[in-house]
Parts: sequence; C-alpha cells; structure tokens
Amino acid sequence: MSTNGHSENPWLRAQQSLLEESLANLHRMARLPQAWLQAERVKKGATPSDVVYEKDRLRLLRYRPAGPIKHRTPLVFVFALVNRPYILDILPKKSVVAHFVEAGFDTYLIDWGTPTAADRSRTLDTYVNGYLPSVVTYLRKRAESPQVNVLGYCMGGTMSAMFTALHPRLVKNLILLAAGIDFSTREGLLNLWADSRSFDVDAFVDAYGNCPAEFLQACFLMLNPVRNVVAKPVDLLERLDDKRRLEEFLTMEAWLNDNVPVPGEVFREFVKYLYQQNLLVKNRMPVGRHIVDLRHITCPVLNLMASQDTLVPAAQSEPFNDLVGSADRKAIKLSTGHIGLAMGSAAQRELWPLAVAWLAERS
Amino acid sequence: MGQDSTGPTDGLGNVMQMWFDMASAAMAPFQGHSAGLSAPDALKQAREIFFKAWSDSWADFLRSPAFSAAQQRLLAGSVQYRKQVRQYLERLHHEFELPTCQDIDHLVVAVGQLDQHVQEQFEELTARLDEIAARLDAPDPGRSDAQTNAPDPRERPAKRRGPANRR
Repeated sequence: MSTNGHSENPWLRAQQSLLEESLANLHRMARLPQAWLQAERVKKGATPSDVVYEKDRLRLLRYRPAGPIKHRTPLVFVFALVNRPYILDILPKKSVVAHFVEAGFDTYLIDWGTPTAADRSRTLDTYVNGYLPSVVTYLRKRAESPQVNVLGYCMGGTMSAMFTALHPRLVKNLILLAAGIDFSTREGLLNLWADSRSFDVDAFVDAYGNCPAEFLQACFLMLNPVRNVVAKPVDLLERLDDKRRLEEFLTMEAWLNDNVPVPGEVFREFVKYLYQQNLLVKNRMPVGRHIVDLRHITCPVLNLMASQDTLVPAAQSEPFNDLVGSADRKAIKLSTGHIGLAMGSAAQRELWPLAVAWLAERS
Repeated sequence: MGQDSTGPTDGLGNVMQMWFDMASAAMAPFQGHSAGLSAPDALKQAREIFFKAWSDSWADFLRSPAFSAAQQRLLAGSVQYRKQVRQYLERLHHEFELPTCQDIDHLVVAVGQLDQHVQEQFEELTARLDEIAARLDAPDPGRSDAQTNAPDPRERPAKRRGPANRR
C-alpha cells in the first residue's frame, strides 16, 4: 500500500493529521520552559523616554523625539488609575505613543504610580484639580505654549473630560479613547455589578481603604471568564512555536496582570457618582468644590471608541459629543475591543494615522 | 441574552436549547471533513464553537439576579471579615501603643485640612492681588476727565501709579 493510498482515504488522512498535530503539540510543550524565561524578560515600554517631572508618586515621561518637533502644543497622555500606562507604548509596532512621536509631536505620558494605603484619602479632586493642573502648568512653561493637547484613555479619559470642563482655557484639543461618560447603559457587566442595589461601595471602601488590585483583576477576569481562564492558555499553547506572537502574548498578559490599587476615595466617587448616579452627563458631577459642566468644553474634540468593548461599551462614550459645547467634534468607532483600540492591528493601521492627522491639523 | 429575568423552567429551557444548538454547530466541521477540512482544523473550529457557547452561557449567568445576589452576599461577607480583622488588629496595636490606620487617617485629615486652609488663603490673596492689579491698570474715569483738561500729559503716569490712587 502506497503513502498516496493512505492520503486518499479520508479516515487515514484524518488520523495522520491528528498524529502530526499531536507531535507539534509535544514540540510546543517542550518550549514551555523557554516561554517562562521569556515571560520574565518582558519589556515595559518601546519608545525611549525620560522622566522630566515628578510630584509625589506621579512621574511625567517625555518621549524622545524621532526628529524635529513640528507642533508647538505639547501632547499629554492621561492614563487610568487601574492599570499601568505602558499599554500605550507596549511594543514597537503596537505603540500609540510612537505614532505621535514620529509625527513630530512633543509627547508626554503621566504615570500615576502605585498608591499605597497612605493614599486612600486621595479624591478625584486631587487628580483633576491637583496633579493635572500641575503637569499642565509645567508643560506650558517648558514648551512655551499657552495650552496643551490632552489624550485620555479609559478612566483617564473620564478624568481628562472633567479636567477640560473645569479648566477649558488650558486645553487646545481633547482626544478621548474609550472613555466612560454616560454610565446609564446596562450593556457592560461592570455597570450591572456596580448597581447600588448589589454593591455597597461605602461599606467596601470603609473596610478596605484602597480598592485592592486583586479585586479589580478578578472583576476584569469575570467579564469573560471562558476567554480569560480557559481559551487563553490554549492560545498560549498554540503560539509557543511562534516567537513574535508569543512575545506579544506574554507582553499583553504581563500588562493585564499588572493592576494597581485605586485610591479608596477616588473609587468611592467613581462608583457612586458615575456608575450609580450618572452625574457627569447631568452636569452635576462634584469634583472637590467644583461641579463639572461638560458644556464648558469648547475645544475640538475627538472621541474614539470600540464597538466590542466590554469594559467601557461604546454606548458609554458615544453621548459625549452631544454633551460638550464644542463646534468641532468628531467620533470614530472601530470594530475592536477595549485594548484593541490601543494596540490592535486595525487600530494601528487605520485609527491612529487618522487621529494623528486630526490633531496635526489643529495643533 | 438580556436583563429580563425568566422563570427557572424558561431559564433551563433556554440553556438546554443553547447547548443543543452549540452541539449541532460543533458537529458541522466534522460533517465537512470530507470536503477538505483537516482533522485538527475541524477540531479547532469545534473548540471555538464550544467556547463561544460556554461564554454565552456564562454571560447569561453573570447578568442574572442569581449572580447579583451571590455577589452581594460574597462582598458583604468579605467586608464583614475585613472589619473584624481590622478591629482585632487595632486592639492589638492599641495594646502595644502602635499607630493604627485610624491614627494615620486622622493625621492625613489634619494635614489635608491644613493644606486646604493654606490653599484657600493663597487663592484669596491671589484674587485680591488680581483685583488690585486690575484697579491699578484700569483708566480712572475721574482722571480721564482731568486728562482732557490736563495740559501736561507727562504727569499722567506718575499720578495714576501714585500712592494716593491705591487704596
């Protein structure tokens, strides 16, 4: 019986391919220790940067320009308080930051640092009316520019919107990336879980102080438990023999597991005033002694969102453009998820060149 | 998938139907095997279909009142446990005359209040300085009348910035 005879028989062919796949899987398993070593060497940040300003735990990174600075107004990235900000510059071909640096923007990123128990009394006011104005004042002096461009991601986007509404003269252009604004939607599981009938945020913060990173991590895992707990290890197994894909996987996982605690009072305000009372869209959101009125935002606004986002559903970001006082406003919705909006291939190919062009026209 | 709660029988029926649909869909790649799909690819496809159905099933559960009630109980229990541990530790700290979280909180509040007070004073001073500067820079209406009659314009700056005009 010839080999060709074997391959013509569908059942023998099936057996042959299953055997080959099993052998390939064995080879992949043999690479596991190597993957372990690779995981320990994961780099955090692709574009060279320097710390140019520090205040308490905050560090302001300036990305080294790729060439001459073409736009006078500096751009500052404002990240969320729940994760580390290097997702915006995670790998050379998947860096949001690199798009702006290469286009000649003087680009900065705020790293809020990791809060400790001593920071549990920090409020949104500390960030929106304390740290952000300090950073912006520093940048205005440094760049000799009266205003700055602000790009806020996720919770950082919500804080950027609050900051722009309270300090409208300081912001030239505002870009929001998957930012929660209207929390009335029940599309996202977090919106359901944070409902006041099932989550007593006061009791939680009073007991825990800061919101523990492990709690946040568990919540994020539970958004899609099958994908996060079962399908991912299978994905890892299939990527073990592809160095580039394995590196991407490990880098991503390292970031996803790098949660930080959220200062207790910020967590209380965010859950109570936004998830439970939805005060931002009602223009009644208190930040310290001030009330945020989104109509005070008059600068050009670019609102970027993802249609498959389970963390901040697009319905949560979409109403923003109708709530601001800006005449120049644009929204782009991409068919991807929350992280895909920053580092996904489609976002890198289509979204970020558009965003860079939008900002360049206005800077 | 929706928020509307259904009765236990309906819920069970829906779950059964979903898994039945999933099983039918998962078998499809194997039926197409003879059409050229390799066995590992067919298995991968079936796996994807299975994961999707499983995921949907979880999503339904995570949106259900049953999960909400379980979450509430779990959090309440965890908060209660945390409180008890904290009380016990506070008593221990107190016995050994060590600072507790509460003491640190009081200190943070005191420093915060001081900071707030200083900031408010600064803001008040800045506002007053701005007001004074604005008054000094604004043309004095009385003086402008005088200016029309004033023969010597060289006197104007000295007079406008003179101490008599500052109050």
